Amino acid sequence: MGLLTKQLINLIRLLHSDTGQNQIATGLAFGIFLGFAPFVSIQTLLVLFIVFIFRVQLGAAFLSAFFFKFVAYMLDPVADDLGRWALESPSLRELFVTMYNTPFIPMTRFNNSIVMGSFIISLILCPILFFVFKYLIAQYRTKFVTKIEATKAWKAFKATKFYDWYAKYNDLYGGA
Amino acid sequence: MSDLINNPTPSESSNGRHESTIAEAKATSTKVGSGGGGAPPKKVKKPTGPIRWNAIIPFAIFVFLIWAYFFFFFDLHMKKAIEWGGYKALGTELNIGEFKSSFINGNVEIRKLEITDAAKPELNSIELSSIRFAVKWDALLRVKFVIQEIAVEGVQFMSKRAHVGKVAPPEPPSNEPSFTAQLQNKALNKLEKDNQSNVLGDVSAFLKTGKWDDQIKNLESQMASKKLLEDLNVKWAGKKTEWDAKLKTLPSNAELQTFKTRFEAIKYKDFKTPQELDSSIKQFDALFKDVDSKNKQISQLKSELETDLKSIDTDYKSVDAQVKKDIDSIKTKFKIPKIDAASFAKALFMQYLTPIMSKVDRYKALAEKYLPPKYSKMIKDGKIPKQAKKEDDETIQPHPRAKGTTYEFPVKNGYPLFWIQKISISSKSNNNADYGDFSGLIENITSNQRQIGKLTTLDIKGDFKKMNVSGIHATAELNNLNEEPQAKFGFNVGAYPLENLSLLNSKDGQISIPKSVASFTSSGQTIGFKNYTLLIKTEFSNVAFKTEVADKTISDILNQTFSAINRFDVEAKASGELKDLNFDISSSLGLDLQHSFENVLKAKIAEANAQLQKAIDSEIGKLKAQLTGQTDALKNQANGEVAKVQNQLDSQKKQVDERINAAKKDLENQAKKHLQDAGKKGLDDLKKQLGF
Repeated sequence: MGLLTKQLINLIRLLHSDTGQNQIATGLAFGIFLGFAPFVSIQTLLVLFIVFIFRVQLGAAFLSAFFFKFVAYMLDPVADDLGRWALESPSLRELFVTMYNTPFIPMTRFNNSIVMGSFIISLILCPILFFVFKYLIAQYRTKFVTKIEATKAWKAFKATKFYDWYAKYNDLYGGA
Repeated sequence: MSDLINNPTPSESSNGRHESTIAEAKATSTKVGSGGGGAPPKKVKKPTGPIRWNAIIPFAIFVFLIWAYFFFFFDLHMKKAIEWGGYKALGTELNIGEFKSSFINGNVEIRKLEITDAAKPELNSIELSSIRFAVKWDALLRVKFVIQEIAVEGVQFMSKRAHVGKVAPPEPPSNEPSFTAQLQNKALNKLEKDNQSNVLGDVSAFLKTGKWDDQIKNLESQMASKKLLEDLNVKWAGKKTEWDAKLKTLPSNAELQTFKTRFEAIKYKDFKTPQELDSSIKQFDALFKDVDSKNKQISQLKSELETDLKSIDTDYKSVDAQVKKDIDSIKTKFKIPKIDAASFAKALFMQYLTPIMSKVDRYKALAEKYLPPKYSKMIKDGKIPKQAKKEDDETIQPHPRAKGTTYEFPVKNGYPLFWIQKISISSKSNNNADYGDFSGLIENITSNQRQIGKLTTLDIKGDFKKMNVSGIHATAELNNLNEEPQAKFGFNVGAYPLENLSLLNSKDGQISIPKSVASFTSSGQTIGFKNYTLLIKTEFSNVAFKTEVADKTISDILNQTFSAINRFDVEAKASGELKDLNFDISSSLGLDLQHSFENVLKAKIAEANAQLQKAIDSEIGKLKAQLTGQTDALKNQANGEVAKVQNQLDSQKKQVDERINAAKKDLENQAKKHLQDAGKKGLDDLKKQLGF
């Protein structure tokens, strides 16, 4: 829980810095895999491993996974149809039979229509989402944040002692 | 947030145009201090690569710790876990000398496994010097547990333990009837059970007494049937009074006469107008309703009478049953022995069979506890649970929408979830220990027989030469390929020495077999865990009996009988549903004893039985006759009265019906005649007008 909170704080901080755009976008894009896949599966573990080992923003990945879990629930009917189509496709049958008889692969539960459909959706949406998120982050930084900074309320808040303490703390213990 | 405030976002960065990780790192700088005061010093962070090294090192440490645990502690913890689990499962201490496992090779070796004998905790019920097996990695990667072969060596029974083993306290008795309890309840009735070890005493007392008159005089107080008859007499006297009152409510002759008078007074022909007919029909209807209401009252009485008459039959049956019970009870009290083979077999071998049945009970309880839930539920309820059927179904089962559809592709090298392909048991005696010479094979212990298409089988043969035990052969088979699972077992011992077998031990005498050689055969089968068949047979040979009986006559009979017997057998059979098994015990020894005692006692027993029957008949005969008289009177009177009134009413109803029909017919005929007359008159008039 502590790690998750820290990662979410880091996400906010990174979002408001001028860097880490790729880290955040990658994290958010990978979140779709975590959100769409079954909770305990090989592919979830693999994505988690990648997210931990590579410098991908963890908070972004978890936040995105949380969000996409709900989306996945709503998209179940679509995923089901898509998965059925893929699993019943005669041209892919040989591939699936081989996968079904290969160690480890059945642990992905690829033979379930919703899992397969969700995976296809995540695979298609992941690169698209990466660029979309990257663009949105840039827009957020240039437009939304600038507008907030220009408000009197923000300026008044910046002048408070509390903000001084926060800034000090952030300098000493913060960091992406 | 301070970064944002203190470092206005460069336009390049915000557009996302320079986005390499290293560049990000270089660009990452923070100002110390807060908003706007002075010129804070800059901190330049080290450039960071794409890999999160600070996560890899803790991960590596975590992996190392897991490895260290498996390397240093896993075997010890597994040993302790098996010992603890074994104790909990079996209720007796289980010890393991050494547990060795290799994760890479997927193999396990257990040395010196000892299971304490519950009855004699200083001994092991079984000791295995070594168990080795290897798990198939190919299956493990498919999350399946498959063992090609388990090798079990050095099997030893009843070996001495280094220390006395711990035995769990017995569990509270279950409400379910045990095999042992059923054997005792079904094979012997209560009275026989109370006196099962007194067969000699009964014969002895019978031979000594011979005079029953004095005892029979006191019969009255011992006969429950007499009390029952008295109660029934009171009951049926009451019923008779009740019926007398009920019969008075039947329509009297005067009432029936009124119906008749009313009936006669109603006009049923020569109607002049339809209104006349209508009035008659209304009167008939009113009479019909009155007769019908009385009829219904009688029908109700008739139905009550039938119920009571049935109750008479039931009461007679209960009287007969009670009389039979009383005779049995009195015979037992007067010690009139039952000289038949079955009674001898029951009396002599109950003591011998009870411990065997207790063992069956123990294994049944273990099976109920530790078999997979679907089977243990079958043993408990005798039903195939719906879930079990579902689990075994290998076809594609569409799930609810949110769960999607799981497709099954052809399995080329698939495994069931759990499968021990083979357990080889081999044991050879050596100079150090008498392990016994054993060899055997247990095949295909699996969670899904249908997937592999093979039965679970067990076949073990062996001898304990040092103990003179030979021809041990255990077989078992579990067949779950069919709709209803079938299980059967067999356990035979070709020959084993038997010493000091006590057949009878009571104050009247003892019968024992100091030495003999026995062979034991047992087999059992169950289909769907609903119907069970169990057969236990022991053949005793080279038998020399030892008898100590105070009564000389009996002693002579026994010695004479036993001296001619060198071998005999005992057979116990149980079959049927678990909660209501049929038990039967028979023995060739029982038959021999029957023949021997029959010659001496038959006439005397027949005389005693006749005397007893006569006494009982005279005691309860009067009461029985009284009861019969009362019930017969009730039957005749009530039946007669009710039938008579009902017949009269039925006839009245019939007459009413006939009169109504006759009245209708009469009106019809009249109308027809009127019409014909009018037609004829019209025709005549027309003829006249036309001048014909």
